[in-house]
Order: sequence, then C-alpha cells, then structure tokens
Amino acid sequence: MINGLKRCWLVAAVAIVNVGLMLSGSSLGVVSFQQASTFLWEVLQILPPVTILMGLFDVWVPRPLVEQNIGKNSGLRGILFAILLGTAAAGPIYAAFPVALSLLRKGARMANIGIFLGAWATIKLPMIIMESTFIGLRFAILRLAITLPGVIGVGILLERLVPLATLPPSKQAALHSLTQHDYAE
Amino acid sequence: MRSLSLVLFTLAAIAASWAKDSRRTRHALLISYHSFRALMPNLLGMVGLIGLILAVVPPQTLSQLFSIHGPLGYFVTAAIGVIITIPAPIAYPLAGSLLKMGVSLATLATFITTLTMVGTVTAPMEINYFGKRFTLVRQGLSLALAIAAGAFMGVLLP
Repeated sequence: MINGLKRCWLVAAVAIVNVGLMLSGSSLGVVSFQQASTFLWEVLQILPPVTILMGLFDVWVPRPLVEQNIGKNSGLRGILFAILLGTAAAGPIYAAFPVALSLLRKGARMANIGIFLGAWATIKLPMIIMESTFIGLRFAILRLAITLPGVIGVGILLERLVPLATLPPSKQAALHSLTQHDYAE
Repeated sequence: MRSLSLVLFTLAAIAASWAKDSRRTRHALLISYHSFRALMPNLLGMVGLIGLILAVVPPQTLSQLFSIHGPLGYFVTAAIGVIITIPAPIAYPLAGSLLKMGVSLATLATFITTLTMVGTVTAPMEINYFGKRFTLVRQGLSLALAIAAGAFMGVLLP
C-alpha cells in the first residue's frame, strides 16, 4: 500500500496542484488538464505499440545476435551499429527507453546503450534537414560534428560510472528470468 | 499518420508471431503488459507535469525569457532546455524564431542539445527503466556535452 503510494507521488502531486488551481478559481487547472490530455493521447499512440514490439523482440531475437553486434566485444562495429540503430528510428526519447532496456537485457554493452540513446535523441537525418532550414546548414553540420563524438564519449563514460547492479531490482530480476525463457537460443 | 502506421505494423507483427508460435506470442504480450503496467504511475506523472508546465508557462512568457541577452540569457536558455523536452518539429521553428530575435548561435546549440538529450520531465520514466544512478549520470553527461557544444559553436561561429 505504502509502496503503491510512493510510486504514485508525482501523479498525486500534480493532481493536487491542479485541483488547488481549480478551487482557487483560476482557469490554469483546466488548461493544465487539457494540455495533459492532449499529450497523453500522443503518448498512448506510441508507447503501447513500442512496448508490444519490444515484448516480441524479447522472445524472438536470439541473444547471440545482439551480443555479437553491440555486446561487450563488439568494439567500433558495436558503436557504429548503436548509432545506426538510434538514427534510423523516429520518435520521442521516451519511446527509446523500452528499446534500450530490451537491448541491454539481450546482452548489449552499457556504452552502446548510452550511444544509442544519445543518437536517438539528437542525431537524425530529418532533424538535420529541419535544423539547416530553420537555422543554417553550417550550424547543423557543425553541431553534428561536435555531438557525434560527444555522444560516443557520453556512452563510454556512462559505462564506467554506472554498474549494472545499480539498475532497478525488478529490471535486474528480468535480466535473469529472461535467459530462462530465452527460446531462441 | 506516423503513429497509425506504427499501430498497423505492431498488429501485423503480433499476427505473424502468433501464426508462428502462439505460446511464445502470449509470453511476449505478457512481458509487454507487465512492463507497461509498471510504467503507468510515472508515465501519468510525466504527462501531468508537462500539462502543468505548458499551462503555467505559456509560449509568450517563454519567448520573453529568451529575450534576455548575454551570459544570463545563455543560462536561462540552457535551463529551459534542461527542464522541458519538446518534439523536434516544434523545437526547430522555435529555435528559428529565437535566431530572428537575436539569440546567439552558441546559445541555440546548447538549447537544442539540452532540449533533445536532457529532460527533467522525462526523468521519472527513465528512472523507472534504468534507475536513479543511470538517469542522473546520463543526463548530467549530456548537459556537459550540450554546454561544450555551445562553447565550441561560440568560438567557431562568431
């Protein structure tokens, strides 16, 4: 019960602020609720399909395939592969989290997970085109030239600073339980 | 449109998987259901928080904040980028109008990088998947990268 409350503290806090705003006669509470509903609709179109696809990924993709391509000993090839995976997908960063977790559980290297998330967030072909139209081609290329090595650096440092043991216990448990159910091996 | 094709693709993937092995597909759907249910509280929290921020800080106020110049303007812009995460199709037109308002290229580089890589509002979700330490380290390093990108741009594109 207390655990459940703790997990819901953020929703509860936002709801209390909203109700407070409404009671004080301000229209902000209603506006806030409307904005949240619009955004929720957007999220619900993306996240459930991604979660289902990742469930299918969990049961169908063989672990050695992931290990080989972006695992511990994948080296430069793994880095390139992580960047490619990140840039190929379109979508908001929160859609990348379930994908990254599935890859990690299949044996991807932590550095490559960081690189994948960074690439997903900030290196995208359509985004570079937009960036050069709205700001300038030189700006877009230069920013890419800085962020690309930067994202790789972030990934490698992330691996050094975040041991696997600091992942949430439930996800760690999943790390193990999955190998038992790993049909594809 | 894009989300419709995502939904259709997912349905096709479920059908194909089911045709091949229904037991395995059921297991996959069970995994998905559990991970989505675990995500729900933080997801709703994130959505509510973004609604609140958008309501309390309307776009007009935001552009007023951006009209501050100099080093203070740089930090204010970076801070806004850190707090909010907005989709690229909205971010670039916004950045374009900021450029017309006289915001420097260095500031814009930091703004765009923090906007996409660092998100205080998406942090609860990231914590849900990867834990506090991962989230803090990744976002901290990304912020450092964004500031470095701004500094480089300031030197190279005066």
